[in-house]
Amino acid sequence: MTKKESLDARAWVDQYADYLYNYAMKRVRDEDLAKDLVQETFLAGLEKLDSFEGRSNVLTWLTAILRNKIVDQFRKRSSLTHYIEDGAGGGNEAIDFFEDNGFWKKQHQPQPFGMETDEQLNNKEFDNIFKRCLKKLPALWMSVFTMKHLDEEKTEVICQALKVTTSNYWVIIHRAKLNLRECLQKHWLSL
Amino acid sequence: MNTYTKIKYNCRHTTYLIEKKQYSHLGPWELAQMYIHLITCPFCRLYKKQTRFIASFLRRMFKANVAEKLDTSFKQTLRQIIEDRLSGK
Repeated sequence: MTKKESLDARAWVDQYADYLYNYAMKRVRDEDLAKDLVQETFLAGLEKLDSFEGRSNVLTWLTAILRNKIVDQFRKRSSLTHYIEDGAGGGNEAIDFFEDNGFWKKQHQPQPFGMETDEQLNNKEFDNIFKRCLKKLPALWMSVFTMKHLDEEKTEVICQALKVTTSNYWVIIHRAKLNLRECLQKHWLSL
Repeated sequence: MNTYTKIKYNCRHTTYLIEKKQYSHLGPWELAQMYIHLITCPFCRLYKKQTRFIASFLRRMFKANVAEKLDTSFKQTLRQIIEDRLSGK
């Protein structure tokens, strides 16, 4: 390790820690986990310092390391929850919203929220309900949503990273949206 | 049940197709089933509207600029760890 590189590494915390922490928090939504991930990223960075050779910007490089660690984390969650195969997710994802012929069960039929417009995007109360409903979703579903909506990853990339098949992927999205919509309807309309 | 009745009542499959269509392409038969169903089913029409709204809400929420800062003591710990590694401890 050259002297210059090791000197630079001493400045990492001041230069990049907040950015990396913020990046991790947005994706894993857990303070302790985000801190661990930042720490691991720095350690992995130190180990690979020799091979880095300044080919890219240090921040880009560290972010890529962090990103891989986050995906590993997502994958770990998905191997913990084999909810589709055995239906034992334990949460409300087991709800069946439909009758045998496929028609909406009466109690689950969509009702107007009175908020399908953009102005409601700024409604604080709705925002709170939305966040509470998201917390109820299984971790794997959140991982899919995060990769999809935050990083706008392609379906194949998500399936590969989380080791789910394409058809399971659509089932996950479908179930997640049905549950999220139902939760919003239940809490928003009962206000 | 004939094909039309099957399509007419199949909200489960229609909502699935609605989700799939948001992120991918549907085949011609899938598209036809979805639109035929939507003509007759107000619940699924509403679902379609709401699920798009939810997707845009999700996107907005994820992109919202909340600046999370690391606390000073943890930063100090990190500095120490890096220092230890660099000095070969």
